[in-house]
Amino acid sequence: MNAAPWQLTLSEASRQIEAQRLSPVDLLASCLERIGSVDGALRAVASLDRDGAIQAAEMATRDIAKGRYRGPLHGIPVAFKDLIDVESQVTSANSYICDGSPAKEDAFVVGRLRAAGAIILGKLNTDEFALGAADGGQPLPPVHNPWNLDRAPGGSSTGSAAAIGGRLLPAALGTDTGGSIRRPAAWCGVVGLKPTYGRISRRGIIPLAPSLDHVGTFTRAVEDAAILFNVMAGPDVRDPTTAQVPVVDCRASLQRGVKGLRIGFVRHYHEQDPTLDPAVMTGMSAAAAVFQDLGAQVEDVELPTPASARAAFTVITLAEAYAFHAESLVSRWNEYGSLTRHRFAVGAFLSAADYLRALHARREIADAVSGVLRRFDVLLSATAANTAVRFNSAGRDDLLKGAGLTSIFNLSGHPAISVPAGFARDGMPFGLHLAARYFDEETLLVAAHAYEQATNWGTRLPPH
Amino acid sequence: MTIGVEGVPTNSEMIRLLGPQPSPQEFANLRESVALLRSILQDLPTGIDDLDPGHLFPLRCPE
Repeated sequence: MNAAPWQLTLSEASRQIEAQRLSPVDLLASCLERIGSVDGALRAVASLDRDGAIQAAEMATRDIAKGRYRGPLHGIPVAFKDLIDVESQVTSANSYICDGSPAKEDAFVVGRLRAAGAIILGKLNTDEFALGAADGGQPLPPVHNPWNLDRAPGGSSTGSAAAIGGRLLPAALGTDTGGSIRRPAAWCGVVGLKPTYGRISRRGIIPLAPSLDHVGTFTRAVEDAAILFNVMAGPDVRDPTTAQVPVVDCRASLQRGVKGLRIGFVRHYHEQDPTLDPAVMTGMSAAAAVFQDLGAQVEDVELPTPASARAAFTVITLAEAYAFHAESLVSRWNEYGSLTRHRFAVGAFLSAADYLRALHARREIADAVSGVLRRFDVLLSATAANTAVRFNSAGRDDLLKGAGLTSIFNLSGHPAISVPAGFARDGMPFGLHLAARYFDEETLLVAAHAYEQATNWGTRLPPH
Repeated sequence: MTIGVEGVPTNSEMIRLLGPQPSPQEFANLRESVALLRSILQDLPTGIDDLDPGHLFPLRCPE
């Protein structure tokens, strides 16, 4: 029996659409039906542009039938973390602070996807302004993990991770300031890509900490991430942080394989984490063995520890986030959720000297990571030391108490990806984290794809 | 910025930065968190030698 269209990955659906065995209208209808049956429990969706999406899918279906196929995103439904502007839709940031005015234009990434023929389906839930946590003070209810409704999906791209994990649609975008794409991707059993800082424009996206923020992808397969990356990467004259670096076709080189690739196994990252789940450790050793079997050279390597990066990450995040919210905190304190306003307010008590010291530490950390990446092509570790935490278990000072295993690559700006790597005894998925040199997403995706093809952890269906 | 003798802000400093809307309990919670933050700050480099101008600029990945 053929799989229902909602079960297809982006690249599978794309191949069927190109061959005219599946129409964009049928794919969208299947996704909407899936959303209708599952999202009452997950709460991943913030808002849908149902009419606009149906209209776009009908147009795509007609165009493809007339031979005007625009490429692998033509007719593919995509949704966005609700910090990302979509023209004529409200960007809520899941906060009462946002005034409800529709965005005047698409964010850069939305415009690129729309131009490539993607169907802009709507917005996905998020932690309030990407730093808060569900406490009843937000317009949207908290999101549940599709693998177990009593677990959190991971933040802050909660809705994007749960939507892709729950098979609501083939692709979503999120943002990542300290791991907000990669950790929820790992906890929801999907692929999460954070490209190099400066690789993809953040124009039209509400910032958390602009010098750490990245925009990236949630998909079910690495090939899907490569398709989205190809379309979105490249300079934007209206985002001065984007780099003038040529973009290679990352999808075309996916089959290159990892033979001869030098992979550094950052074993101490998870080994030293007090929350380590033994299954994660076993899974990472197994992943290293998979790469060796595929012909890569794997060696243990040391990076600056997450604990050593914590101070720099915390200070930069809180200082930059506070700068963005300072006026609203004074004038509209009670309109933020209580956890959100508390976290932002802590940044008010940092000095300029604190911030400069953090930038200094950051440069040292980035240099150390770059130094290791002169000897290795790819770095391997766990995305998180444990599986998804209990639903609604966020605390006031979570950010101050630990920076996770992912934030070091926000400090350094190197590209990184999380790929499904197994299931723990609690039945929850965990992820393999890979990082590569600046602007070498090609090697990063080649390695991730080789591992995925050898293991296929991402193909299992969640119960919800 | 001036902070209180224990390294955490006084009520008047909190009101100056955040306005009068936070409740007394929220000020108390903030005081605890700021104390935690200040303990983390001890892990950052200090001193003129460490603050080389080459290290002060925000991230720009080498192109």
